[in-house]
Amino acid sequence: MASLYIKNVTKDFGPVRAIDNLSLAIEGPELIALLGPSGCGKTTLLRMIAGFVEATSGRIRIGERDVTDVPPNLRNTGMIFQSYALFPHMTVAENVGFGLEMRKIAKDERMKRVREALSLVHLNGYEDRYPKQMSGGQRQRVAIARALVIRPDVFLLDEPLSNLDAVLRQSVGNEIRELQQRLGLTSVFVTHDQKEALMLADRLVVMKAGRIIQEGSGSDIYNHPNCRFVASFLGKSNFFEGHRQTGGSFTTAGGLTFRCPDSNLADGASALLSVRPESIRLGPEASKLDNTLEAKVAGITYLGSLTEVELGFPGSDNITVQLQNRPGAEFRADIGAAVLAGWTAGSAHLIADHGES
Amino acid sequence: MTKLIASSFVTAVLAFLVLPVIFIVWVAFFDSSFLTFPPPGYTFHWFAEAARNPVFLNGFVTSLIVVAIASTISVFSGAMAAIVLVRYQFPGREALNGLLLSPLIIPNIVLGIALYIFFIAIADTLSIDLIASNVGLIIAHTMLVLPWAVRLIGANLIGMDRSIEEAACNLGAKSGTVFFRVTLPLMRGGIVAAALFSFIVSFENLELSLLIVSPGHTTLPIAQMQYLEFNMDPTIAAVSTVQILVIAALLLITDRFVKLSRIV
Ligand SMILES: Nc1ncnc2c1ncn2[C@@H]1O[C@H](COP(=O)(O)OP(=O)(O)OP(=O)(O)O)[C@@H](O)[C@H]1O
Ligand SMILES: [Mg+2]
Repeated sequence: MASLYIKNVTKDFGPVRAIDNLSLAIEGPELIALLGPSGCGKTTLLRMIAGFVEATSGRIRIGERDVTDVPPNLRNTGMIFQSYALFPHMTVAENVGFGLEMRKIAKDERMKRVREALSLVHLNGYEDRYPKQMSGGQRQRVAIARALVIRPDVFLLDEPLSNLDAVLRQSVGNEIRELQQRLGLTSVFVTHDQKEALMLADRLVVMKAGRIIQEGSGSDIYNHPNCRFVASFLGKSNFFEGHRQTGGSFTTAGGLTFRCPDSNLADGASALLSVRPESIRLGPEASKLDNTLEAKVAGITYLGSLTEVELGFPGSDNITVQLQNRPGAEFRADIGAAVLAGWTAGSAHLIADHGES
Repeated sequence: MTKLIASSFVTAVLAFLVLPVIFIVWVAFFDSSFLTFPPPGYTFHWFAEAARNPVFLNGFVTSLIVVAIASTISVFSGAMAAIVLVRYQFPGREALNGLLLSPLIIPNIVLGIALYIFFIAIADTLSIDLIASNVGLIIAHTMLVLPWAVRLIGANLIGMDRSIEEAACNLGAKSGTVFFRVTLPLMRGGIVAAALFSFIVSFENLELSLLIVSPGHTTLPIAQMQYLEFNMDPTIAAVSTVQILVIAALLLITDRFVKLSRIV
């Protein structure tokens, strides 16, 4: 266990700025997820920590050690790759023992630690297999054992689950999380799958265009997104553009007025009101809520545990509503039918509007 | 129905490719100096005849020496060239690539004439006669097979997952260790394919060698051609059968180590 400090790091690939003056600190046994759309620099940042990409400027520190100028083979990080990256010409035991061999650990000790590492990932008895004789999930677990057997200071994972099917993704993901907690590893997990990030990480770091847009726990970020990008990247949301008014109300550009939650935005500031689809109620129960809207049903999609209803009304874009399905209580209506939609003031969230889309 | 057509087409193509080989091997055992059908009987006589003929024997030895040395040089230098071409960006990379592949495009005869003139010029100016020894042949054959080596090893490198090497580095391996413990073993398929192709292309080559051989340094295909000018008996079929056996044995041995269907 160590800690990781990234300080004002920038990376330029020619004219492309992949990482833009980014700082991040991870102290102790914490798993953080780097989350963001394709091309936002997640892999680049991870590879900079591992030492495969040189920072254009800024410093990287692991524990007390400034590793900015240390080559990757001396950084003592354990990296997991999307493609497993096992050595195809070596057996499982040779794969897992490779890092120990590089550290000149004597053979007996090496074999002992290889067996321990394999039992961590429940692969005892697979020592003499070759990678191609194993399934994807098993291969990734060999890769995990191989990375952990060297007792890395930081554990780095670049989309480790993306080549696995849904069931394995869940189980290998849980295994990673369990090992990370048991061994107290300082870990960075790259993903563009928000579910994975929410499921595994202590802290989410949402990135965009080489910068950190927001960081915090999953529920922090979901309930208090600081911009439209985060609100729509993590889950779905309905946005109303408008202005905050005195006395806790909000008027939209289309002339609607809503009661809204407390916020530190100044009165009169231009803002976005973000209302999550699951916060909205329909029908009679909506009439008792703080904000109500007369709308028309524009579409209904049945999604098993949820029903998604698309609503249209004058003066704004369509909004999306998600209703929990309970047996015998599924929402039914004709397209074009009038319906009342409503939500409580506290379930919405005000975001400063910087004019981004 | 389409399946039937497809399979008969495949069979026809296979027959087209294999029949001449079968025919030559068959003829090698005919107990007759002329090609008569059906043969009056079968014999090993022509193999003994071929083995007694010093021209074939020397040709075979010369071919093996030239092929072995040229293939070795081409695989080594081809591997290095392929690594540089695939892994590094540098000015003149395209030009180097084109240069290394050019012997594939130039007709062998033209290449042979050019080399012949070049060797004569060297003999005139430096008094080193490359044609009087096997050296000229080895140089020519290296040129002939190098493009194959670069291509095959390069294709293998392009398909290689770089993260495997990064994993080794991440686990503490220095760059030299990464190369010898990971990169080189992963290049094995390409290297084996390159060695195999080099061997076959060089072993069978007639046109290029034709202009560069000198008395006493004749390759097997040239010996065969010269024999055919004055004789038409199954000896030549016996020699060809030996050639076919050498290549078949090579393919079989190679296949034991690297599955050929995966690399070619
Ligand atoms: N070696 C490189 N040379 C040039 N540009 C690069 C290089 N590596 C990355 N980039 C650029 O840097 C930016 C960030 O890339 P990066 O691979 O870090 O994105 P990512 O967040 O991992 O995306 P994804 O989710 O698709 O994996 C991209 O614009 C990419 O084109
Ligand atoms: Mg990536």
